[in-house]
Amino acid sequence: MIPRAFCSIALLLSGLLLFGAGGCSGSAREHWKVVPRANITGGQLVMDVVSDPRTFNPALASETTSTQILGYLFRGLTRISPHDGSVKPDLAKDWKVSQGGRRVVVHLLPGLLWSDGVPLDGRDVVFSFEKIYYNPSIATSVRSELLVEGKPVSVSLRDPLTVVFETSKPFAPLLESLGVEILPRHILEPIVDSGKFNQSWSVRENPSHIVGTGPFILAKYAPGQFVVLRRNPLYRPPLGISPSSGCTMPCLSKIVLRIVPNDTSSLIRFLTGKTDLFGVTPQQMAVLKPEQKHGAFRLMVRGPSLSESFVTFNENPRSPIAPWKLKWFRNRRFREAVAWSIDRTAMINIVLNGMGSPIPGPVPIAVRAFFNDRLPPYGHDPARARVLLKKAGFSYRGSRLYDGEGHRVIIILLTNTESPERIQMAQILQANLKDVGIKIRIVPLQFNMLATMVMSSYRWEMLLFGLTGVLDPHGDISVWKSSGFLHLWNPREAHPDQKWEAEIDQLFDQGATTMDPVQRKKIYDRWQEIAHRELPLIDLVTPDQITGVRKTLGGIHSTPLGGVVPHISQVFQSGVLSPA
Amino acid sequence: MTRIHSLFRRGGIPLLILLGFFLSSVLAEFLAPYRYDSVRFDLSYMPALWPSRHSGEWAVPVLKLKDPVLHRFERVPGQWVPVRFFCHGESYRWMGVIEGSRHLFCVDSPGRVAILGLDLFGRDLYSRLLYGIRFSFLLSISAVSLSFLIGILAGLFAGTTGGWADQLVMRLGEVFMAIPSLYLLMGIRAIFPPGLSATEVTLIMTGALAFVGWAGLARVVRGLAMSLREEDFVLAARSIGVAPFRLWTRHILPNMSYYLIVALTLSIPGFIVGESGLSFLGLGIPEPHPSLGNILAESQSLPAMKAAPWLLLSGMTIVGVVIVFNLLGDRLRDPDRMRRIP
Repeated sequence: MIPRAFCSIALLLSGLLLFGAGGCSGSAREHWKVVPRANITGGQLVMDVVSDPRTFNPALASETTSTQILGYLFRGLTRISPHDGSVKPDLAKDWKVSQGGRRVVVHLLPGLLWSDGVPLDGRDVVFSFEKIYYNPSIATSVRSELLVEGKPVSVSLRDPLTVVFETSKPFAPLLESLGVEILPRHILEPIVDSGKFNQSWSVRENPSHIVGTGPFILAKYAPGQFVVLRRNPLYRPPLGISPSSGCTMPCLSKIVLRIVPNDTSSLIRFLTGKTDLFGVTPQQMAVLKPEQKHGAFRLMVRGPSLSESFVTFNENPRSPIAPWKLKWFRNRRFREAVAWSIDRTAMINIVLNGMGSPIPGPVPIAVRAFFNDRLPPYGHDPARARVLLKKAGFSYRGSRLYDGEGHRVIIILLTNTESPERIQMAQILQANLKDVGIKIRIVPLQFNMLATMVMSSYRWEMLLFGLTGVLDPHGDISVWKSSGFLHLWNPREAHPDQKWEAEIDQLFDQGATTMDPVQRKKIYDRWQEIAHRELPLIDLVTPDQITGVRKTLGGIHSTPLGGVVPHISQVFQSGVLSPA
Repeated sequence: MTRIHSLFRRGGIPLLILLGFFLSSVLAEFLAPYRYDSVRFDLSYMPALWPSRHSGEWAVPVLKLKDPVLHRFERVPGQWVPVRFFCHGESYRWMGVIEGSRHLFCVDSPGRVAILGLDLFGRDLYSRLLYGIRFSFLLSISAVSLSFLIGILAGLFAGTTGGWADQLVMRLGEVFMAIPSLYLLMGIRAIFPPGLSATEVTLIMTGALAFVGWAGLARVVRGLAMSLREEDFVLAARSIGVAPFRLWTRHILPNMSYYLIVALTLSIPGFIVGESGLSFLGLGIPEPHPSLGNILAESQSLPAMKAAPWLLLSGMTIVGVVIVFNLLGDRLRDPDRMRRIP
């Protein structure tokens, strides 16, 4: 009997071992080589997306799959250069700024056509702004970006190819805002007039009804399976974009976006040669790096990403948390002590696989135009943190920290369960803060629940979270202005509660209405100084941007701000994969 | 003495293995070279590193991170740290009570001995497994005891009373059995606010597991009690006016003890799996406290599996423990049948 029992255990365990081993060597063992194509026109690009698009209406789209797809179908008057973040023409030919920045006259490119053959002119531009983006009955998230101090920009037609934008006050980010998608008047005007715009161009719409000016048009959408885009033969590229040698733009004839359940299946599909472009997280580097040669792809590392991660404390006097805790959190020295306790190198090595860098402040390093490089970064210095805490009125009993009133410093840290990286960062933070006597209890919550607790019930103490960085600091206004809804530490204040918050409010107002770039830089430098001193957000680390690119693709260049595809219409397929 | 002897004879090897597991988890503080939350951020995912002979004594080489992307380590030339035995190392409170710092073996920093490898935060998997087994064992044993208490009382009450009480208890039990247990567990866990301490979570999990597990047992106990109720010795006891509680403890329970012991051993693994499932889903004991489930949860992504396949050992431990418990249950239930198989 004994041998039998042991045999069964041994068999089961070895089965598991084999299964486990299979799991770890699950990466592709296929070896690929690239065979050049004779004619580079007419290739295809295959990518994965991890969710279905919610809408094909650019004015209503807010989640990433929809915006990614619509980015190929529609264009705005201007676009942002992926190389330096400057504003470049797209549908516009050129523009003239006058009256100290209060008037912008935009000339359209002549001969533009919608994908159904109807000519595009200034009336489409006026329609898009007046009837759609400024229409209060349409639920568009773009509107807030197009308001200058709460008022719409006046848009008028001078001649069929000239549109005039006028504001009551100078508005620095106006040109950037003109990048919003221009929509076809001849199709959408009757829909807007009948009040059905909020339901129009849904994912159930016949693809041929969705008419744009982008390099591609929607060919087919199968829910849960794929979205196929076809080349727009009537496409006219913006000025300054020259075709890749040997093809007319767009070079690709087809883009296929496969809908996959999660990131891991996307990783496996890239490894097995089924997709051409793949956004790599630092954790996945360990799997991908050894496979580069056999998989016929390269990994393009483009420096720190724009995304921010930070911890923040609840400083809101209206919140229902314990009054003594609020007192800690509103103490600048306490926050500074926390900033000095964090071991960001460990976070980079552990959470980001060594591929990342610490965040110095609210402006990402990649945004050279506004980054203030004179502020010293916070390092890992627990001794300094302990001194600061003692100065702030805290004291130690053994290794535990107590405040002046005798309360042990125990803090509940919230983060969201969807991001394993954040949970890992929270665990490192927990160990770091234990070194300075602060006890952290980590509570991962689902995003919606977290958002409710932080933004409406204010029932939270400490939060580890992230936001996407922006190119122009004005884009951070909802975070930094005291009345902003993302002003996490004290949202939607009626009046700025602390002196430095009032100063930041003022700086953001100034920054929005100052046109001189040197002056603007000075204004936002001052904001970064205050943020660095007061630490309402204690910045952590940001991953490097990495993209896996199949060697069959051409027209790919690494850019600091726009990924590896400077312009989608220049991408071409130079070869096909074949088993080596 | 003879009773213990006979228990061992009937339990055989599975019982010995389980006792080994149990003892080593009770002595986790002593057997483990490190605390469960002792981190080494510079040695993330370091593979197993066993002591070897170096200039006449057992020692481990000092490693440093060479490539954070692929988790490669290299030896710091010439640096070895000796392994000490029965030594003073990281301090602990044994079972949360007795303070101490004595370990079976230790290696001073910057050296790090790793019997099974380290996890993402450089915590020793071997140490964490010992603590994790303890947590899983203690939790499931207390949950089983609680669930047996509820199940036996409910079953006896229903079986001996009969009538509407029987109907009520049994239909209630069926409601519990009809809901898939993992969802029920998640539901119960979700009633309580997040941000509880490890002790509070442990108590809630114990309660929840017991709450979910009592119904099946109650049903069998009721059946046994109903048939025993009609036995002559029970009728005799009742006719001379023995009180119901004494009737239960003296006449009915002893006659179903053989079944209860077997049911006990067979249901512990279910509870271990239940606990692991909850912890795997992040609803169990919070990090950095280890349990078999949340150690396994660390290895659920492809990159983690690739970088540290040894984390899957916690899954194998769960499987191993469950199998051994089942073998023990089989032996206790039917010793003759087991003996007849060559």
